[in-house]
Amino acid sequence: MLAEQPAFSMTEFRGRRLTVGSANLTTREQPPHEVEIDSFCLADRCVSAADFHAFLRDAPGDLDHTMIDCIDPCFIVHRAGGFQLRRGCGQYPMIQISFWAAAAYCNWLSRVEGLRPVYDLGSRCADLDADGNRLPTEAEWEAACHEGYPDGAGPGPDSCNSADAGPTCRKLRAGETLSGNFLPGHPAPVPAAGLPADAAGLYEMLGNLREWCHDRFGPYGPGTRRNPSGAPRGTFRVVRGGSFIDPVDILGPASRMAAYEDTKCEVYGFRVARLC
Amino acid sequence: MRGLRLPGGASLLRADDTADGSTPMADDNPVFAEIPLGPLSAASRGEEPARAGGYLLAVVPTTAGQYWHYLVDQGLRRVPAPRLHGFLAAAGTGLRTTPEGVIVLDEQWAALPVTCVTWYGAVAYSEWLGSRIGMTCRLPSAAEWQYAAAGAAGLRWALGDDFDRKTYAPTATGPRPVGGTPANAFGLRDMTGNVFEWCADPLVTDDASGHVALGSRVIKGGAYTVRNPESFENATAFTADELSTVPYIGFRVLCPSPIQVPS
Repeated sequence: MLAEQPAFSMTEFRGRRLTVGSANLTTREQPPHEVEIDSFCLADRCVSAADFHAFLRDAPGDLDHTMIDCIDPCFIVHRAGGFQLRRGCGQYPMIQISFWAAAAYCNWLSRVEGLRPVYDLGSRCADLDADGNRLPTEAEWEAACHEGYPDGAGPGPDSCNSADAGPTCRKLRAGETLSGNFLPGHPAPVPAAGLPADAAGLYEMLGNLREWCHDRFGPYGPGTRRNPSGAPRGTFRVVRGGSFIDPVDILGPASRMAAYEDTKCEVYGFRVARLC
Repeated sequence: MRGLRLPGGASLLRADDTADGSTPMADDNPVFAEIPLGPLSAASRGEEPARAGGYLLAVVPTTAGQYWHYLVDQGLRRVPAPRLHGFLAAAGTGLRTTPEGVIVLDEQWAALPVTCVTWYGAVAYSEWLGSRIGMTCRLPSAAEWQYAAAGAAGLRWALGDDFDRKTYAPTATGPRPVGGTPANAFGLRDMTGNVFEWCADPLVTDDASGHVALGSRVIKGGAYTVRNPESFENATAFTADELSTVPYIGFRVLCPSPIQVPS
């Protein structure tokens, strides 16, 4: 058992049939197509720096320095005593970690909780039949986000940390307190669950950080698919939701972007999912 | 190799010494290249003075073998010094910490750039080296580092305006030995890629009371852990917590020039 539980809690979403993609965005979201997904649980917020630090302290050998960047801006540094949470940074979402560092966290949490790990970091494979923690598939992420914005209207400028964030939101950005050596007046993340929840009870699905999803990035194929989990090959992963540097008009449940899986950057974070 | 002998046994490399393609080998004492005083091009001038140079800079980053001599000389092998360094337990970066807390050198990796040294450790090594060779050594400022890398022409990367990924940033999971890349016009190697290099400059921000130091220092040159060509540019500056001990930040030493160089 963990001395301290993660700050997030899991929300259950029932299985469903939904339209994934959109005809009105970029070519990446085309064609809109029918998808069937099973029930799943999704974390209500991104994994925080404090959550991730608990993992690093407990299992420092589970990742190496190619998977996490500890140069500014960052909420966790690496000193002679090991990984260290910077002062006042625990509540911010974890950033500067690669897809595989996020996968390593999921595996560690699975082991702690007595679940079967999904990812094999050595072979860079995944077993989606395992009951452990993982990153959400983009179809799961999209279904949950649609449920959060049922009438199709997105969040207002003060409840979404985009490039067009309003003044109330900007006041919560890390730079205003010099957290993580983000600088005042510059774009930066806000604390996990720092803004109002959406209708599904989820925090910062749109804006704040682009969230690593499980799927390898590839074009959508035709026809109905059941529990899609991405392209069979490739080194790019889907990231969803946009970030504090993205304009609000490109954020939405269907919008998708791709990121090289070894990228570590202050605009990428993640939340945990698993089967229910 | 040819080169001028400095007081205390350090060597000075003239830029034309590299014409035969020889690689300066890691040694107890670093080899310095002369960065002569020269004009800055309009493109690279920015906020900097119109003239730059007039100092010596180590041809390659300080190696694990060289830092080992400092540890032995200063009696630091068995003394925890978290403000100076924190070597990993795993082998592969040259110096490591045994389970008993003793620092050991793996000879086969002595030519790796020393990493896991804090900004303060880099400063302390520079001062120690200076006292050994009878000079005042220190870390370069970001501007001095950039001029040494980019030259008067203001090159984007150490060897030109094209990003040569195979030379600067081959896929790697750790540092590679120093001196493996061609020399630039000043005779400097490895300025772009392999490991970031600590510079003197602090990260500061302004508040009502003036400059506030944030406990970070500038690092330059990119490393095996980053990928975007922009991250390696001579003009790009990142910062890192000054007590960082990570295997992707090293440093090289600057000495003020003892020689009057015609401008």
